[in-house]
Amino acid sequence: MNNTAGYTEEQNDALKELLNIAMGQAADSLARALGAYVQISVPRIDVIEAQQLSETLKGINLYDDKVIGIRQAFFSDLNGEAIAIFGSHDCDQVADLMGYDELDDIEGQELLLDIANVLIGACMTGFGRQIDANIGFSPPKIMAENVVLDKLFADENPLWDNSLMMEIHFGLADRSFMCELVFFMSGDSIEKVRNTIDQFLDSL
Amino acid sequence: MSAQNINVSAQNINNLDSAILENINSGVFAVNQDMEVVVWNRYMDVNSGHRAETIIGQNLFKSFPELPEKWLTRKIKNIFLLGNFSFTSWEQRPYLFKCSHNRGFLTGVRNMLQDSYFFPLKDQKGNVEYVCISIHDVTDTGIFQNKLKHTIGEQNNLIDELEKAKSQLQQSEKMAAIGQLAAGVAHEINNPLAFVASNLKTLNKYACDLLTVADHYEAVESELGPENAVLVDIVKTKQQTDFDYIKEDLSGLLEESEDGLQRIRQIVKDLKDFSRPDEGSRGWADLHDGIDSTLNVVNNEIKYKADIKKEYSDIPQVNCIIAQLNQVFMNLIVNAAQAIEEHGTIVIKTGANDAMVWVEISDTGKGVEPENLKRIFDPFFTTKPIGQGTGLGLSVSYGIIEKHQGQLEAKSELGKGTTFRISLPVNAEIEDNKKL
Repeated sequence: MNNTAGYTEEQNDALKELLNIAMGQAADSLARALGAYVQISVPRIDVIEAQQLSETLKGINLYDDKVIGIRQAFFSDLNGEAIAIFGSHDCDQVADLMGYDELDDIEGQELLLDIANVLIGACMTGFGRQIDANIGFSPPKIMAENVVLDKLFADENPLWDNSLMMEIHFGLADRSFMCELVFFMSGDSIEKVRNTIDQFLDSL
Repeated sequence: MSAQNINVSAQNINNLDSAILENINSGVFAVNQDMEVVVWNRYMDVNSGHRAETIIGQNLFKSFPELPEKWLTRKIKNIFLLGNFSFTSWEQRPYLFKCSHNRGFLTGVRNMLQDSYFFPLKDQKGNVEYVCISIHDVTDTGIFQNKLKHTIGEQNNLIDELEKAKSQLQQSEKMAAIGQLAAGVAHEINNPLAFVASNLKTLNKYACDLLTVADHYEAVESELGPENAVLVDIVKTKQQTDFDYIKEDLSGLLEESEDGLQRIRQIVKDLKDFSRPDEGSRGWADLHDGIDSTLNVVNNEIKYKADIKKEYSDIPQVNCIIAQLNQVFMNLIVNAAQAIEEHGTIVIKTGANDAMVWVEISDTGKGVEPENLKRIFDPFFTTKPIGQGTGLGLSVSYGIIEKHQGQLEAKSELGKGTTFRISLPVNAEIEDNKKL
């Protein structure tokens, strides 16, 4: 945790707790939607600087060296962008869960867009509910496919200096399917989250 | 949509919301848990071919059997369960409902490209009661984006080709420069070569003469007494200079030098033949001479990679541009050597039948993949690492043989090797102005 950007250890712990609750709910509804047991990691939270963007991907572990990145912007009370990262060849593992039979390349893309949308939607909506924020979503889009992880953010040029980053790892039990979700929020959203956490802490 | 179509005050529309829903320029419909249609706006009426009065209350998939039922049901059910938003994009799924669209009539797009947006409609308790889907016409954007993608793809191909052409140009400029240099050097070497050769010949004669004179002196040595001071001096000098060995070695040295000069002469000739300034000139030539002089030129490139086995038959002279055929021989021989990974053999076979002669160049290299074999004569096709091959050697060779009204064929077996066969008419009518 980078405390210099303004989050105290107490705020950090509280945020982690809120996220844990939100992600637990998200995992539960996902498990019901997908009909498969969903495993999630403890969320990692950090405040990062723009030039550290690529470093946030270090330590991410997927089944495939080449990845596909899907981005989805969220807006309204919380503003930012969520990135879902999958292994390039992982889609076959979950085709049936989303109502596909045999997958061609385009259907594989659509499937991962759909899964990214479900995961991001569930997490963000859950988180929004915890901090009483209303959130809208833009359609998910492919940012890059078949690239090595390090290169995923190569063409990005963030407009912010600091961003609140939350990272969660998803896996499906009994299937070799993993996904990494990274959320970036900046500016007002960092403040909005901090204020909510403070209220939450005060109410304890 | 024109203003006349929107008639908010019409009797059958009783509030503003429904008027907007009815007239908005997007498709809007909603289904319940049983996939029965509960809302169907006019846009859907017009574009889907099903009118609201016939479809409301009906199962969506009964009315539209062409919809991907399994997938769409799953998608909608997830929204009932999760209460989330969902999307489809024309890029992955061009349309949800097949609606004709004449905007792309001239560009081959006949169906409306659609983005769609799925969202939950919740009851008071927050449970999802209906799933609403809005359909947006993105045909124009799609057409434009596809065009752009196509154009970018073409541009990238062009850039690739330009890069290759540039590297080929550099390569051919380099080759031309080397050729000129070689011809110049060959010419420059010829002059000193001529006088060294002539001097050596004279030197040879002088040496023989000197030895004859020495023989005569030796003959009178016996007439001097053993104590004679002159004889003692002569014997001493002979021992110091190892005179007997000189006599023995001299002719050998001269012979070797003569051999060396002969080899220099051959290299100079080959260089001149190879980079002949009158490259375009045509005449009767012995292909064996051409192959041999090419082998001399490329010897350095191949001597560590392959043994050359010549199986020459008796073949007639061919009316050809030998400098160009030499270039083909060089390409094929160098390629053969490059195909050999460790060490192998290159067999050069010749033969003649009827009015044709043929040359076969075979290697014991790694062979060519069948799918690549079809393309090896294509310009810019190469399987060599970037920077090592321009992919033009074989296509230029092919062009040269074609210009000679001959044929260049290849057969290959993976792991065994490749054989190129050149067939040439003995006396072809070469069109001088035909471009390679």
